[in-house]
Amino acid sequence: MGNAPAGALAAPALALAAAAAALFAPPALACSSCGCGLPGSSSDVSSVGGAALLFGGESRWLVQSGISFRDITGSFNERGSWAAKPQGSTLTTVQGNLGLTYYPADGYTVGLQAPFAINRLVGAQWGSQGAVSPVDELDGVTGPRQAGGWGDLNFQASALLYRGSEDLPAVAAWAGLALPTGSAEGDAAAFTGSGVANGLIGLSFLKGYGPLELSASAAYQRPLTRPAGAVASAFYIGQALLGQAQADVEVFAGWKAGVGINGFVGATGVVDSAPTAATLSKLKVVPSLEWRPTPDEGVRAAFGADPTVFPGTNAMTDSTLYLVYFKYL
Amino acid sequence: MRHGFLPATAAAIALSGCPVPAPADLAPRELVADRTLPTGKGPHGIAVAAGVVVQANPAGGTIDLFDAEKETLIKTLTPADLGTLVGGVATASPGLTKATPDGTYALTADPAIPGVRVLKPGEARQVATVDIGPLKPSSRIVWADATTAYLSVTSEGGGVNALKLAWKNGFEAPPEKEPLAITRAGVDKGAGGSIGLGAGFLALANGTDNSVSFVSLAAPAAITSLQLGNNPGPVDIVNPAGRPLLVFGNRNSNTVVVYDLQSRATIATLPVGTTPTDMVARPDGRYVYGTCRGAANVCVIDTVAGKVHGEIRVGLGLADKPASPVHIYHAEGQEGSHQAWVGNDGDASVTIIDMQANRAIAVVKTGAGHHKMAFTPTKAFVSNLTDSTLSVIDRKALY
Repeated sequence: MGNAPAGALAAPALALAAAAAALFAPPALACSSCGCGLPGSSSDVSSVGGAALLFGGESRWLVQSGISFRDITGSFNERGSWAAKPQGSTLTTVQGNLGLTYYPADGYTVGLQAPFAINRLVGAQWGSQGAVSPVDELDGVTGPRQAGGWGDLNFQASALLYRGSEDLPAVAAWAGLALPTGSAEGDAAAFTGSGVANGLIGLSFLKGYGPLELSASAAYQRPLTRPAGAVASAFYIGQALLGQAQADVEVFAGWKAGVGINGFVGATGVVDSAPTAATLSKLKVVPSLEWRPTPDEGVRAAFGADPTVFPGTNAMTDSTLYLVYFKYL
Repeated sequence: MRHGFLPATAAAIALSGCPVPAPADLAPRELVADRTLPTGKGPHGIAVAAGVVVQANPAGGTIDLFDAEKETLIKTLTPADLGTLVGGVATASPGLTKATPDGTYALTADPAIPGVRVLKPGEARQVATVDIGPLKPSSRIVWADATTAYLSVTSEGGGVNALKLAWKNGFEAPPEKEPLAITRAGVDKGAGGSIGLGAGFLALANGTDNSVSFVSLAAPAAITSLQLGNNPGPVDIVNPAGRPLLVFGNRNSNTVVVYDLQSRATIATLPVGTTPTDMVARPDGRYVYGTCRGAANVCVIDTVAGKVHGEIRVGLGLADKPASPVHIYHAEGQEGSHQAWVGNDGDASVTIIDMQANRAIAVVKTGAGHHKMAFTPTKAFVSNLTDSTLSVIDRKALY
């Protein structure tokens, strides 16, 4: 992929960028891609072919902009029982991300993504450990609440460890740092972050079989700071194991259909990072469709929905539509 | 919208989308409150004492006193009548109101103010104030006997979350006060929430660390704490067939826990509707009724069997206004019968449940807003927070 002149998608790209979205897909963000947590953190890179991005390298820059529309459907409790959100309530988030990835040398990347989210809560709000609770005038709330702001900024870097062979996948290692720049206290409608700094490390794998491309990532996230409140913020998942798997197949020239499975298992309180111990987990299935009119740019649409049966615990469930534009410069 | 008791199987089918119409003769009657009285701004806590309805109006800082029989306003106690509480707090915004067991006096308390007022409704005046500083009243007052009450409180130190008040020299004299820290070890901030008392045990929920703690009143220093769900709220203690049980709801887990206080064992953790918020027991302790604020129903817990007996749909069934049931009260009916009255904050109604038949017998349209209730043998008084009104319902037609 070489440097290409502005392509046919330049105008929509600007529009999407203005809307702020995007992804650089570190698998570390699988959590947010599940919708378990911070609406302010990146939406799904994984569903946008995330891991594969770490294996690029001929270009110097990758710009991604995306927007997602998330609708909370209910929540799992600590015993894995799912309950619908309160009757008559809505909890929606429109989130944009702007992502920049720089390839300083073949096999290496550094990246930044800046998420921005707007939440609208009607008759309910999110609480700790993936809960959804009704609210009304008794709670000092009358009518819909809408607020938003920047989410948690994410920095990451990766290095190619193994270029792969006929039988083995390429392997990249990466590390990330998420800063608590999003809101995690006060008005629940303005929550856009986890409230803590997180460090992440992980491995990503990529293997192609003709038109079929398989990628996977596994990561470990550890909070570097402690939640401020007596009960952890709504989008805090503690230390966690994150995983994702993605399969894409080229169905026509320039068109790829795919499906991703993203999940996490988190635990609060284990490393003195939260006052109350709990485990959190969730799985999300994300079918997607990608169109690349040129090798250097494309758009991807994906729809993620959380199953309402096991294996969720202490996590919200949602349905989310993702739209992403990406371009190599 | 179906009304009436849905057995577990029928409820499951209903949840799966198949309509299960209630038999016509079991459907609750839909009625309208008989009369509506204007109150001060934002009526909340309510009680009946000495034949007088004591209606606290937090937003206006007043207390209305109505003649329960004539339904006429006797007097409005203004901030000037109520004066400052000890500590110099000059406002009066009582949201918590409770009659004394002998029905002569009423207590009111404001969660923001470290004090309790003692009213003598029969004389339409405040007769005493009780300084409880630095503690602040929380959400409940329960009576242990004719003159001893336990009040849930919040505190900033020592984990104090309950206050024992003993009026040994009458309600117009200062009571003896004993702060209690019924919390998990190491908890410093007391967040007294719901409080349960019965069978010689006292229990409090603490949502800030997801715990429920209880003590035997005979040995209050020995505290047992449970962490069995997210955001525990409503708490009750029942004693069916001489077996003391702690029953509490986890508002964020959508579960109700039944716990044996003697064997110290969890009998069951039961999935219920969204956000169990308040609960009340049938006097024999066999059934506990919990409002599920986010699901427009009341779950019926069979404490002896340790299972969900069923759920009762409440409210008017309006598509655009979920019932949002919050508070639930026990009211004695005729000839030893018992009723549960459910305040449906979302659709301006109350639902009356027959505790013998475990079904809704009536839904009564009221004013709008959050509801609290007080009863005489013949009438129910329902405060309507948004409307600033008091709905009066004749109970004779509901027996």
